[in-house]
Amino acid sequence: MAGQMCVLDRTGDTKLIWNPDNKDETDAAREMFDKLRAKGHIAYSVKRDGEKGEVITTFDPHAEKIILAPPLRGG
Amino acid sequence: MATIWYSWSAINTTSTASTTWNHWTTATSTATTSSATTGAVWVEWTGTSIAVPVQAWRQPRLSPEEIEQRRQADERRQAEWQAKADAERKAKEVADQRAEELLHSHLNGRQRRQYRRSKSFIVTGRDGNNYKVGRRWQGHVTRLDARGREVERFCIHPVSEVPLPDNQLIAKLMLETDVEQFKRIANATPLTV
Repeated sequence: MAGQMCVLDRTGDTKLIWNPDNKDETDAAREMFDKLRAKGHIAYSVKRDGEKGEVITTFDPHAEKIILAPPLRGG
Repeated sequence: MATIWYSWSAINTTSTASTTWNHWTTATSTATTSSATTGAVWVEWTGTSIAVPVQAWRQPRLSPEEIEQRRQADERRQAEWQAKADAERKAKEVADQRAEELLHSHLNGRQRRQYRRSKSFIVTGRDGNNYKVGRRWQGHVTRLDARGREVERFCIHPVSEVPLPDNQLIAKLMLETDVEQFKRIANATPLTV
């Protein structure tokens, strides 16, 4: 099953889909993941049905869905 | 010889029947109220006894063609501004819709019902406490006590702009996975019950 990455941004979210059996797609997803993590984004691995997820710090090619949230600050 | 401001506020003792405006027009001691008809304010203003037509500003005369060109240019600018504003509003509506769909997909049945009623929902944090997540940019998370009363408010939001439903989803995810980090970042305010 294809993995999906949702990057939360001002458009709502930008989606990137990869096939874990496709090296190019997986590498592209990993590159985006690493780039955003370096910028301070927080990554959550969640199930497609919205069940509670967990924080991840390394890219999981077999994750069903990864949500990348921008860095936070106190208001 | 006339001088500027000679008798702006004072009554010259050498004049007769002097008033401020008399001396505005002439500044000699021989000024009389009747001499004001020949004395021009602007004569004294320029420091010369010779009346000089003074025109502070003259509106440029435009031909009918030039007037029409300016009108059309104004209309074009207005139309461009309006189109840009409409596009931005439409983009924001699309973003809000996408964010709401994503948030909805991460709510359970009870939370969806709460959200439908009030655009807010209750999350059980990893620490076992219940938190209400509202639809605002700041101060949108409150901790509830055992009776469901809001007892503490947390102000936390992304450093970059995202639609409000995204802001709610981010709070939900963090409360469910790392409450300690949430509380380290957020500014907390106790609420009187």
